[in-house]
Amino acid sequence: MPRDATAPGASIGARILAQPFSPVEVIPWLAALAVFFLASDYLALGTSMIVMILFALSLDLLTGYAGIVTLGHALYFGTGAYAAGLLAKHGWSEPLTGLVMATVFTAIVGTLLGIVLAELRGMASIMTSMALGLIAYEGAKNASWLTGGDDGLQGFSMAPVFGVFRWSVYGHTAFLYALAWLLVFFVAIRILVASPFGLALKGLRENYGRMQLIGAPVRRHVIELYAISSGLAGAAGALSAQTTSFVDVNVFSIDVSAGVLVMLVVGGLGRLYGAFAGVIVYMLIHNVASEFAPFYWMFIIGAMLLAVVLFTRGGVMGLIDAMRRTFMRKQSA
Amino acid sequence: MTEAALSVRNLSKRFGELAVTNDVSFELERGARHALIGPNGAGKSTLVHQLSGVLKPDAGSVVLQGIDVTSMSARDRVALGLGRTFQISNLFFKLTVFENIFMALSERAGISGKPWLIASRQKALIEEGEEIAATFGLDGCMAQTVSEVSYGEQRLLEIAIAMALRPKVLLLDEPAAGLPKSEISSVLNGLALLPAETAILLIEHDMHIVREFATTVALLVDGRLELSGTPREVLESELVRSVYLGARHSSGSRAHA
Ligand SMILES: Nc1ncnc2c1ncn2[C@@H]1O[C@H](COP(=O)(O)OP(=O)(O)OP(=O)(O)O)[C@@H](O)[C@H]1O
Ligand SMILES: [Mg+2]
Repeated sequence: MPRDATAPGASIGARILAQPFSPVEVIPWLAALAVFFLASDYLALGTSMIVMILFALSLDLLTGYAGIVTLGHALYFGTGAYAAGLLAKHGWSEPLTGLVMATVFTAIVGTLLGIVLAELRGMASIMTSMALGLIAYEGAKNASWLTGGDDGLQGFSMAPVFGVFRWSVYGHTAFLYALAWLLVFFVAIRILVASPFGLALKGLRENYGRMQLIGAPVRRHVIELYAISSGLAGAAGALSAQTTSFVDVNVFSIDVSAGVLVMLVVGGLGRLYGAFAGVIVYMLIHNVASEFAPFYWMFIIGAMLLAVVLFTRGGVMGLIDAMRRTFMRKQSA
Repeated sequence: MTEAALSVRNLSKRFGELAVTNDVSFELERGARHALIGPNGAGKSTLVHQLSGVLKPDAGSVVLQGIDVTSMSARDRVALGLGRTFQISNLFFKLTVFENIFMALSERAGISGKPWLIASRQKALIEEGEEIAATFGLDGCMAQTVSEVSYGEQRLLEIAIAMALRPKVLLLDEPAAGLPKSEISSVLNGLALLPAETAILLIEHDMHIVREFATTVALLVDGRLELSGTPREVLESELVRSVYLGARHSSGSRAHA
């Protein structure tokens, strides 16, 4: 993290560009450890939240930072999930290298599709990404010899992590394994966002046309972004497959693409921690609501989305920011 | 040495019936201080759009330091040293003033595609950005978003961004447009600080600025270059008087003929 930029000696310019680490940022990680030690009944839910947070982060780079809306991001999640699952099923059950391979494979797929998608803007881009997602969904359903079709991909299990930590039914290993990967990817994303490339993404979002006139290779920027974002989504999918030893063909469905977008909007776009807040709020509500009101939970989620869009600027994280500002003003008054 | 920084040959463009650029030819030498004047709707901005690659001409060619860029993208022209500003501020309004400048610098320096670099640690580039900001009197508002700063500061930021790209040829489309008299001097100061070797084409309605800045002036009327000469010759000519008075009389309507 760029800590030295906030040092007293740093120039004003450096301070404007710096995104220093704040102590508040340890909260989610401490919360995760608290769940691990104190609430082991919730490890499975926690693991799937971690997976979704990584998925939502990958979308935040694309949609929140660069302003490219997509309804097809499940394509990359599903690709990563099947890649990791198929590797394990066909003998490569070492999880760390498996996840890396699934990530790289998905990034390659994302780069190739990105070359096409970078040509499109706005509605055309949204529709094309959605269509690609639907094709992948139908393809995975029909290619049951490879994917297991509607039954999903099952009958594989992962080797112990580092050859030592076995995957228990209680999910301790799965939880920490997923958490560690999230931390690694999050640090990388945090650096990306503070890089000149991260700034260029905001430039694309704010004024695409002007970017070309400051000499930006906009197409190359967008393709690079697709490579990174799809790779991260693929990593999330691979994590999902490895921690559950199962791949549901519905990983490719548009519900997954739309769901992750809703989570991100609920949490707040373009601020990384929106992914954390959105996923946790959404999945907690889903969990509670589907238990007590199984037929109405979509309705509840819909109402929540409406409330966020109408009454908050920037989702849950925007709300927290606003509350903090009011609090500080009261204190200084 | 003899090669012009920018050479425009027989450029023409029509919007339907309207010949908005009509067989325009001119050259800018290295270090030129050239002004282009003309009434509203004469086709000045449209000409800049064609030179910078935002619009395609129907005919003619644009040659930048000996390289024909007529069919090149706007982006490639920037890379070859063509900079421009916009008549209507075209900036990254939700980003800070300094981020606007730094973004241009990092594109020029070729580090904008490197997600592993930390922007706040690019010392040399940051210093350059701070210097540019100071040059244009923007050092006091670097941390503010563009939408928060005054319109005059936005006009100066347009020039600052263009300068960050170190252009060999700079096209300034009414840098003082919409500014109150009191702020015009800050733009003039900014213009005076542009590097001497940069060839500059200034489009401006404010005759005071033209007189202060330019060594040659050309008049564009209905897409046609009509006059060219020293500021004195051109600004005091009958044609300029009648064109500008005519335009003022029929204020609102663009039709001049
Ligand atoms: N995209 C377009 N389609 C059709 N006509 C256009 C288009 N853009 C500009 N025009 C017309 O072309 C003419 C020249 O416009 P332009 O903006 O180049 O004038 P200008 O000399 O820059 O004027 P001003 O001093 O008001 O900025 C005007 O009559 C304008 O209405
Ligand atoms: Mg104009």
